[in-house]
Amino acid sequence: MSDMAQTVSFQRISKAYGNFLAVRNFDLEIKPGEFVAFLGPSGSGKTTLLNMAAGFVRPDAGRFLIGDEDVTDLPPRKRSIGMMFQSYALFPHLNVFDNVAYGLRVRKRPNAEIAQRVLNVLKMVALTGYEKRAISELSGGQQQRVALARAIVIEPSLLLMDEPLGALDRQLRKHVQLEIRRLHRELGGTTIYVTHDQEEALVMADRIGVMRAGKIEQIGTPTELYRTPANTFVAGFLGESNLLEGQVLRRSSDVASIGLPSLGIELTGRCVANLVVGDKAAALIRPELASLQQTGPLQGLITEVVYLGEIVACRVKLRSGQDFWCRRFASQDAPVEGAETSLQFEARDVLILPVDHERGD
Amino acid sequence: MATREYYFTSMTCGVEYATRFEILSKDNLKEIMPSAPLAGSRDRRVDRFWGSVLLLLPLAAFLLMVFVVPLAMLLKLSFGGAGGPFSAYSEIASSEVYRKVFLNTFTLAITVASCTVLLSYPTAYMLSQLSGWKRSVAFWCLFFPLWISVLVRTFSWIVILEKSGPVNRALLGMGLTSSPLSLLFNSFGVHVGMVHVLLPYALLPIFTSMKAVDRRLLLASDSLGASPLTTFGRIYFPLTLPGLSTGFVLVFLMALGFYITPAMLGAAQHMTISMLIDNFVNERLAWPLAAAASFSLLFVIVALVASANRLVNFVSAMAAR
Ligand SMILES: Nc1ncnc2c1ncn2[C@@H]1O[C@H](COP(=O)(O)OP(=O)(O)OP(=O)(O)O)[C@@H](O)[C@H]1O
Ligand SMILES: [Mg+2]
Repeated sequence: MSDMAQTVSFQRISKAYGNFLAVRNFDLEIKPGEFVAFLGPSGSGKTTLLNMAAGFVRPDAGRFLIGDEDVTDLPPRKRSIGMMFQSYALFPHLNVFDNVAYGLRVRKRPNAEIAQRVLNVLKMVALTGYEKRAISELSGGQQQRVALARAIVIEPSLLLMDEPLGALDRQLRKHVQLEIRRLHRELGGTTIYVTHDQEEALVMADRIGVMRAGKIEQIGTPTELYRTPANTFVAGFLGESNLLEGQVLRRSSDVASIGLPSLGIELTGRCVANLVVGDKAAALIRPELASLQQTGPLQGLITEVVYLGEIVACRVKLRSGQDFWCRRFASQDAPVEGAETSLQFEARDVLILPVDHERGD
Repeated sequence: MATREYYFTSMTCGVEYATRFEILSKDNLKEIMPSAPLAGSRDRRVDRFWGSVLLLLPLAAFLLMVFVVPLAMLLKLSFGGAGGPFSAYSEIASSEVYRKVFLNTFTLAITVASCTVLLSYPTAYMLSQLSGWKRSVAFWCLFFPLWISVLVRTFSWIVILEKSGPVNRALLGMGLTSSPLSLLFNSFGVHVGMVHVLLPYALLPIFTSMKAVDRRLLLASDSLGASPLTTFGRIYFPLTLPGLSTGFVLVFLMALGFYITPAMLGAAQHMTISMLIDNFVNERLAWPLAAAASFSLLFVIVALVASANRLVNFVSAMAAR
C-alpha cells in the first residue's frame, strides 16, 4: 500500500440536507500515508464528510481529489478506496475468505493471486485458519478484523473508517486500536478515521480534526490539540479540563491575565488566541497539572476522591461553587474527603482561551 | 382444491400462532402473566414447557380434528379400491391419461410460478424503494383485488379477454392484429388468471426479503469495486433468493391445487389434477381413485418441498462463487 499512498484533498466542500448545512466549506489536505481522525459530537457532519470521500454522497459544491485526480463525480467503485463501516457490513452469505476475496474477484484477479493475497491479509489481522468460517460464527472483534482485511486487501489509495470500533467493548476496542495503528504503520496508506471517542483519536491519529457543525474547529497533532486547544470547545472535547471563566484584564504578546470575579482573583497564563482586553475568556488548567497544597491561588474543599487505577482523581469544590478536578498518582499520599485544600499550578500550565459556549461532551 | 386451500389456511394459521407464541414465551412472559410462578430457574423452565403445551393445545386439537383425522380417513379410503388395497394407486400410475394430467398440472404450476415470480421480483423491488404514502397506495392497489372473490376475478378475465373484449378491440384498433386473438380457453388465459390471483403470495415474501437487505452491504460492494450488475448478481440476488424461492414454492403449491381458474379459463383438454379429482368424485363416484390421486399429489409435493431447501442453498452457494 505504501507506494500507493496518495495525497487527499477536500476543497471547499459543502453539503446541505434540505436547508440544513451538514458540511460547510470544508477545506483540508491530507499528506500521503497520513492517518487523520475526525473527532466531533454527534451530528457534526463526520459521516457525511466520509461518505463524500467514499462517493456515497455527492457534495453540493467543492471538489475532492485523490492524488491529482478530481474524483468528485466518480462513483465509489472507480475511486480505489477501502471502506470500513460501523456495522462492518460483511456479506452474510459469504464465508471469511470469500468476503475478503470479494474486491479482488470483482477486479478479476487470477485465482492464485487472490488466494495468496487473501491469506496474507488474514495473517496480518491474525485470522489465519478462519477462512472457511461463516460470518455469523465470528465474534464482534473478529468480524471487525475481517472488515479491515476486506478493506485493505485491495490496496486502496485511501482507507476510510467510520467509527469501526463503536460496537466493541472497551477492552477489545483498546486492543484493536493499537492493532489498526500497527497495520497503518506497516502499510502506510492514507487513512481517514471518524470517531467521537477522543481517546481513540489520540491513540491512533497523526492529526486530529475536531469538528463542529460541519466545520473543522481545529486540526493538529494530538499534542498540539491537547496542549494548545484553540477554544473551550476543543479543550472540552479532548481530555479532561478545568475551565474558569472571566474577562481579559491585560494582554501582551503571548501572555494574558484574566479576572475571575466569582473567585475574586486574577490568573495569568499563556495565550496564543486572538483576544483583547475586555473579551470574555477562560483559563484552562488540565487536572494533572494542578496539585493539592497547603497554600495556593485557589482554595476549596475536597468533596470526592475517586481511584482510577494508578491515578486518583479529586473533586475540589471552589469558593464559587464550581468543581475543579485534579489528578495525582495513587502511590502518593491519599487526599482525604472533606479536607480544606489549596490548588497550586505554574503560570505556564495555564492557558487563556476564547470562550465558546457550545461545549463538547 | 378444497383440501389444498384448507391445508394452506391451517398452515399459515399455525405459523402465525407460533410466532405470537414465540413473542409471548420470551422475556415478556413475566409482564404478560404476572401471576406465573417464575421463582426458581428450574421451575420456570418446567412452567414454560407446560405453558407452551397449554398455549399450543387449542391449535393442536383444531388441527387434529379438521386436518389429521380427515386426512387419515382419506388415506384409508385410498386403499379401499375394489381390486385390492393398491388398486386405486396402480390404476392411476398405469394410466397414460392420468399420468398426462399429472404432468400437465406440474408443468402448469411451474410455468405459473415462474411467471408470477418473474413479475413479482421487479415489482417487489420497486415497492421496497418506495416509502410513506406512496408505498401505502401501491400496496393498496396490489392487495385490493384480494378482497374480491376468485370466481368474480376469473369471470372478469373472461370479459376482458374474450374475442370482442377490450384487449382484442385495442389490439385491432392499433392495427397490431388483423383478426381477434384467442386469449381464452387456452394456456395463455389460464396463466393470466392464475398469475393474477397468485401474485401477492410471491410478492410478499420477496418484498420482505428485499426490505431485510442492509443497504450498507450494497455500498460496501460498490466501494470494493463492483459494478451495479455485479453487486446485484453477487450480493442482492443471493440475499433475496430465500424470499424468491419461498414465493416460488408457495405459488407453485397453490397452483398445483388450483381448480376454478384452470377450469374456467383453460382448454377442456388441459385437465389438471384438481379437475380430475372433481371428475372422480362428482361424475364417476370413484372415491378411492379420488383419494389416491390426492395422496399421490401430496407425496410428490412433500418430496419437492423437502428438496427445495437444498436447491436454494445450492443456488446461493453457486452465486457466491
Ligand atoms: N440523509 C440525510 N438526510 C437529512 N439529513 C441528514 C442526512 N444524513 C445526515 N443528515 C444530517 O446531517 C448532520 C450530520 O450528520 P452526520 O451523519 O454526518 O453526523 P456525524 O458527525 O456522523 O454524527 P454521529 O457521530 O452521530 O454519527 C446531522 O444533523 C444529520 O441529521
Ligand atoms: Mg456518523
